[in-house]
Amino acid sequence: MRRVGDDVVDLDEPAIAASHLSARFVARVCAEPELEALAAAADRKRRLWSLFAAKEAAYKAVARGEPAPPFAHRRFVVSGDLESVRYGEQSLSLRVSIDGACVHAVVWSGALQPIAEAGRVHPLETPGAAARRLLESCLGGDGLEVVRPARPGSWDGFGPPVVLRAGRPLDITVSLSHDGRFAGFAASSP
Amino acid sequence: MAQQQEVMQKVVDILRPFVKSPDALSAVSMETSILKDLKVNSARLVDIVLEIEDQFGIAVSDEAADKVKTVGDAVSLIMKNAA
Repeated sequence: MRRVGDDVVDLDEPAIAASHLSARFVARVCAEPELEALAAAADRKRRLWSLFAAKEAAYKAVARGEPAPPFAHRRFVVSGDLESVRYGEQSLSLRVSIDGACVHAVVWSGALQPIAEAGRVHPLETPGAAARRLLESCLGGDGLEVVRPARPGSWDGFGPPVVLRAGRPLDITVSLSHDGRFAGFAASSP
Repeated sequence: MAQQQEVMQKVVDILRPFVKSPDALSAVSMETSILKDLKVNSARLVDIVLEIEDQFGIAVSDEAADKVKTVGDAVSLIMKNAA
């Protein structure tokens, strides 16, 4: 199974303005090896939310298996160079892109990097619709539909997204995300 | 039952600052999903767990925190830990 996950963080969201200054928040999110690098980081806020997005993306990748494991941020250990995430015995590749206030983390298994993009949510568009628009535009548009099949027991009752073309599922693994003013996606190469 | 309602009200008060649309809390019940119905994201959920620890004087493990999906789950967790 190809594992792909992504996560977006809007660094300008007021609710996260001071989280990087909270020792308890940091301790709840970060694994021991990450704390030293975080303390030494020139921009602690960017570093913390890069770690956070990486862990969320890694969980999405890992949770594609049945049953999904319990999620605890500090059990996902991000390497100091932000190029991999370890979860138990599994090691996943990581790419973190930062464009202004938009942090986009993409995690995958295997050699092939997924295609991925993040961008702004347009006015009058829901964040979920923005993520689907970015994905559909990248995959070449017409006749594409992104659906989430029911998955009892998941946080919202639905499983990971599936891309359909003319009603038939494409053989790609997809992750969608959004936060604040931004949305993004990652998809295994077709 | 009175204690359960009291805990639930405190949980709602804890959730309030983290919920973007106050209307979402107007019909809150034990079955209300914190993530789906109240649209609280996972970063805010970390803050909520810390706030629950502070206000109720309990420690919430990663495993227990992961099981909190609804308002009722939070109430049960608190009542079990406070017992």
